[in-house]
Formats: sequence, structure tokens, C-alpha cells
Amino acid sequence: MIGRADERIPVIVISGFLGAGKTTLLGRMLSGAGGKRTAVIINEFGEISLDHLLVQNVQGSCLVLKNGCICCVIRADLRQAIRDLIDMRDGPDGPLFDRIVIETTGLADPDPIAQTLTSDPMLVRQVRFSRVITVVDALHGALQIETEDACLNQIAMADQIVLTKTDLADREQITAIASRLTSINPAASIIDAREWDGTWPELLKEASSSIEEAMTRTRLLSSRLSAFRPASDSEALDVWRHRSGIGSFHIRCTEEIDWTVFAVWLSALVHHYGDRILRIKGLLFAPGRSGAIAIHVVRYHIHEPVHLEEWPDIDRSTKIVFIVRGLDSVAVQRSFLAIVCGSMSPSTLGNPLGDSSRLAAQEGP
Amino acid sequence: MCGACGVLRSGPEWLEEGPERSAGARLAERQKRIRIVNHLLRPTGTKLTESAGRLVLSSLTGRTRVIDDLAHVWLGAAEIGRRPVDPLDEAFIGDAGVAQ
Repeated sequence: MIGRADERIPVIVISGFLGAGKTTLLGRMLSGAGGKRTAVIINEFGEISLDHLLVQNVQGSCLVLKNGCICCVIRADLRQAIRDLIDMRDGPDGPLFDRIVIETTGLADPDPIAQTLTSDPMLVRQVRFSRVITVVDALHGALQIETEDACLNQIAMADQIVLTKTDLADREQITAIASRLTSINPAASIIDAREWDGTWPELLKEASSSIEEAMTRTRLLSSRLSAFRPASDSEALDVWRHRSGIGSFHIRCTEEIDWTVFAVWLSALVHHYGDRILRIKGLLFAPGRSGAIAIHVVRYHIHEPVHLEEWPDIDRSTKIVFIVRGLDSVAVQRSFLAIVCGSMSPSTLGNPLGDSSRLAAQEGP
Repeated sequence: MCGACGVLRSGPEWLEEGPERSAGARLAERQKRIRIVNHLLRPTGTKLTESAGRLVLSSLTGRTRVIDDLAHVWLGAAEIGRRPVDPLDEAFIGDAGVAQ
């Protein structure tokens, strides 16, 4: 990235439905390499807190927020907890930590937590919302996705999904849940908890690789599902959108994108529709740059763009994944074409959902 | 964040291009950014202009807002314009794209 380093404390949110294995993952993270200098905030729903007793190596920088969920009733407590941690660190003999990890309750929606971290005037100066790691139970996750909106939101908001209990599930179950997760959130990378070596970098992969992997998965998924797609694209939207209104799609464009036009368009889009945008992740193919520009949006917050020194592969094209709730994907694609690609040749401005070699758009669930 | 990416930055410097470019190039980039914003603002009946180093958003009825950053432009247009900026609306998409 070009520019001065961001010295704010990164905050990582660990999410996942009840019983998915969040505390186990947190315990492994803290006992693994790099886990020592980590402050932890654990949110529990009941009056009696247990999870913090199950987590080792926290050593004085662990706060428990109980009697409510930080995504709704005690969001102010989250703000105060982070402030307390920073005050403790800055005090004499305060605990040293380089990051803060928040373990949410199993019913928490990470979205309002992310909004608090990215919009609170005090917090944005001191901490940086880093990412959401969502734990999904391979055995029960498929049913929870269908029946529990909180579970769906947790998956839709994830940067990284850790699949647990894969030792208890058979291969078909694992394949089915992985495919479902990819269709809901093509921008997240998925790892099997059994195969995770306990190191942090594996959980904190750069966005670029996640997007590349997600694009590959999305293309594969789209290819597999193409035989079942209705002839009309407008019908397809309804088929592949989840009943809750959450859906994903991506835009791909092989022409160079004018960064300024794109930034103005993105700013206007996020300003007007931020309440319907769960995530946007993308790689921009901008002129005069050796690598891509990585973009990342959470609701109304546009993260600082990241300049990659080189492209992850030979495919130098703009790829943007949208995870939205109740936002018309065709309208987004048309707007992108008209405003961002407006200076391109007329041949580019064809059917936005067509199989153009220069621009392709594909629906998720 | 480099100058080119600074368009998303808070504060008046969102119009500034990186210092590695010449003064003429920076001025051209600055004017280009204002032109792009004004293209999107057309259906609102507002216009962004630069005067004595200040950015001012003006409506057809003469109402004005001093603008700090790009997000402030959209807020100001919603306050003093005919309608908020909606980049998915046909009126904003138009048929010619953004003139650069």
C-alpha cells in the first residue's frame, strides 16, 4: 500500500451461530503463534459467563460483556470496553497488545458491530475494523442457514469462514455446506478447521487472494448451475436470491477503469444504498499501475484502497463482488456500465448480463 | 492512500492528485473530478464550483453549501437540490455515461 502505515489497533470479530465452535477457535488463536499480544472482548448472552474461563493465555486483557448482545442492546458497552482496553494499555504496567479480538454471541449479527467500529467518531480514530471470521458448523450449518437469519447474516458478513466439525460430517455434507457458503458469500475464503495450522496469517489472508479464489469459485458455481438457469435474467434474479433478500453478484470488466470515475460512482452508491450493502470487495484494473487496486466496503464505510504490487494471476480485469440485501443487481450493473464504463466503446455497452468477453455479471444465491 | 485514491478521503484534499505530478496535471485532475461530480449532480439541479480555494455547492434557487469532502457533496445535494443523488436511477445513469 502506498502512503503512511495505519497505526490504529486492528479489531477482528469472531462470529458464528450457537455451538459452532467460536470459543474453541479463539482458544487456538490465542495459544498459537502470534496470539500472545491480543486483547479479547467476549460477549455472552446470559448472566453467568463461561467462555472467558475456557480461553487461556489472555492474562489480564480480557473483558466480558454479558447480559445482552453487543449487536443490539449493549452496543454502547462495546464502545466503552474498547476504550477501557486502550486506557489500560496506555496506563502504567498496562497489558501490551497489538490487536483486539471480539467474540460475539451466537445470535449476534456482525453488521451493527462493524457499523459501530467504522462509524463511532471516537473508535475510528483509535481502532481499525479488520475483518469478520465466521465459524460454521459443517454438521448443522445447512439447517441453521435455512432457519436462522442470524446465521445467514454472519456468513454474508464474513471475510473468512472456518468450517468446524468436519470430522463428524461426511464428504457429501462438507461439499454441500461449502457450496452453500460460496453461493451466499463468494468473497469469503473458507478453511477447514482441521487443516488450519493455528497460525494467524492463514486467517488474515490479504483480500486479493480471497477475491481471486472467490471469483474462481463463483465462476465454477455459475458453470455448474447454468443448466438450471431460466432463460430470462430477470427471472434468474428471483431464483437465486435468498428468501431474506440477501444475494450476491459480481461484475467483471476487462477494460481499464478510470479510478476517479469509479471512486465518485462508488461513493454515491454507498452513500445512497449503504443500508442495503453488506459487503463490496473488488480488484480494479486502473491505467498506469502494475498491480490491482483492492477495494473493500462495509455498509457506508469505504476502507482505504490498497495498491497491490502485482496481479495475483494473468487475468488483469476488474472484478467486484457485491453482497447485498434487497438491492437490484441489474440496476447496479447498468449503473456501473453507464457511469464507470461510459467512456468505453459502444460494444462494451451491450447486455449487462450477457456473455460478453469484456464484461460479465453473475448472480449468486 | 495515494493522491489518486484520495478522492475517497475525508476533507478537502479529496480533490488533490499525488505530489509527484506537475502543477498543471494536478489542476487538470482537480477539474476532472469536479466535472465528474457535476455530471452526477445534473438531475439534482445543483452544481459544484471552486471559488477562492473553497468548494461550493449551489442550487438553481441560489441556496449554497460549503463542501468539505465527497460524501458532503451527496448530503448537500439532498438538502438543497431537487432530489438526492441516486446512481441507480435512470435520470442519473443517462445514456451517455460520464464525460471525462
